[in-house]
Amino acid sequence: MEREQRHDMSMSGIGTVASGVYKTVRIDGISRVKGDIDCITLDSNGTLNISGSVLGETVKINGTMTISGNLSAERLIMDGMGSVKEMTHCSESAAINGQVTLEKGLNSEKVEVSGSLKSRGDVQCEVLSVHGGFNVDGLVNAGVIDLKMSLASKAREIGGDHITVRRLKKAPILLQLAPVFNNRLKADLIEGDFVDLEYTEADVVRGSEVRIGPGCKIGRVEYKADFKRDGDAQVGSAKRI
Amino acid sequence: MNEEEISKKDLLELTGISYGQLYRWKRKNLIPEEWFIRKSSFTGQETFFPKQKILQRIDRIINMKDGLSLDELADVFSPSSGEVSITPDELLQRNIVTNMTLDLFQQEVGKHDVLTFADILSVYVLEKLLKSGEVTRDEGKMLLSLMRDHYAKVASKPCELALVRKMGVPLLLLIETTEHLYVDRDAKWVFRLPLRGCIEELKLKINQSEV
Repeated sequence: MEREQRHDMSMSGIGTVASGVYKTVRIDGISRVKGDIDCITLDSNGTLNISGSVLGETVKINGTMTISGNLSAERLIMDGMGSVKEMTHCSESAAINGQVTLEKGLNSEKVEVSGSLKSRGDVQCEVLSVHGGFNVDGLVNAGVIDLKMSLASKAREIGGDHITVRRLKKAPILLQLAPVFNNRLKADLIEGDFVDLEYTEADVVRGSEVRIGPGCKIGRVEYKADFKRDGDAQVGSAKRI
Repeated sequence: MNEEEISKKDLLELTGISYGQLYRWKRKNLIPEEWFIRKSSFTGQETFFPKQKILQRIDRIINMKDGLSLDELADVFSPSSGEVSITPDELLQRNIVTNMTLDLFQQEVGKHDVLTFADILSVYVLEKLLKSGEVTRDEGKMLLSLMRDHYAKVASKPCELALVRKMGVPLLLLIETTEHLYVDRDAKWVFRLPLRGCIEELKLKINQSEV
């Protein structure tokens, strides 16, 4: 549809928004969208519940959001809590402050998370930078992965060029005793060209240059060029290939 | 099909590419998800690939990388047809097909000013098969009508074209999946041609001649 034919939609208070094609959708309050929505800008403050899919250029959410279909946007800015039941696609960037749950997975260019990212599918992007933690049931595939952990994190597989895992700060000593509260990254397999890990538990780590820092528990390391290991790290075996 | 497989480790060693490159190509959909075959091995989980396909694909990516961006490459390898339409004259000029094949095509289908991708693919496949001598002109006509009638249904899926002959009677098949088919003993497989490979070759030809 041509852009000229799009109209604005603005809503305050409690109500229901019809599905359709819009220019700017602005929602303040509690609202429900029945069906799919196609817009240039979606700006929501409050609680938003969409029973269909969202297609937009800029999607900005303050508060909570639930999308039952797909979310595809160029830019996603989310402050608060959100969940998407189908695939999430952000062609340019996704900035998430708070907590987001993705039932299928995420494809994007640049993803910045402050808080927690939960995904039941694969997360693929060029740059993934996380302050907080992630929990991914599939593969995390990104050119640059920068994880600064303050929450326990988990992924089945991690792959990319540069993978850096750091702990933001030490948990209080009492919490450290209970492993549940221990912020660590757990993964089955980590593969990358440059892998730099701290406080990570993994079965296998493969890479060209591998650095295993303090607090790591790695079953097996396979490296090509260089391997450094902190004295505090537990490594089952390390092999040059 | 029981193909030879190669582990990720051996693949990287053989081709000299890095983990980063492999993952990047996967992100860009240059390597289809279904080629990543996860198996458990004595060292935990290992990923395997169909050897022939992946080696050919990586070879093509490396050779094409300089000319095209990764996104353009992804388009070449995607099974969907893309937005291509070319006039018959251009096909001749770009050496994609010869005059003979095009004549046969125009006899069967009629003259069109602009050919769609499906048409171009039909002509290209026909050209290929006529050249290799695997089909006769009459079978070529069968091929064209088969592609015209049914290709739209299988486009963007992995499919194969096959020719079976029994007692000199040809039977052309367009097979949607690449599962095994069994024929009785008097019948002979003349060829089985995965269309995906043809699509890639064709797209490369179209792209290259545009550059």
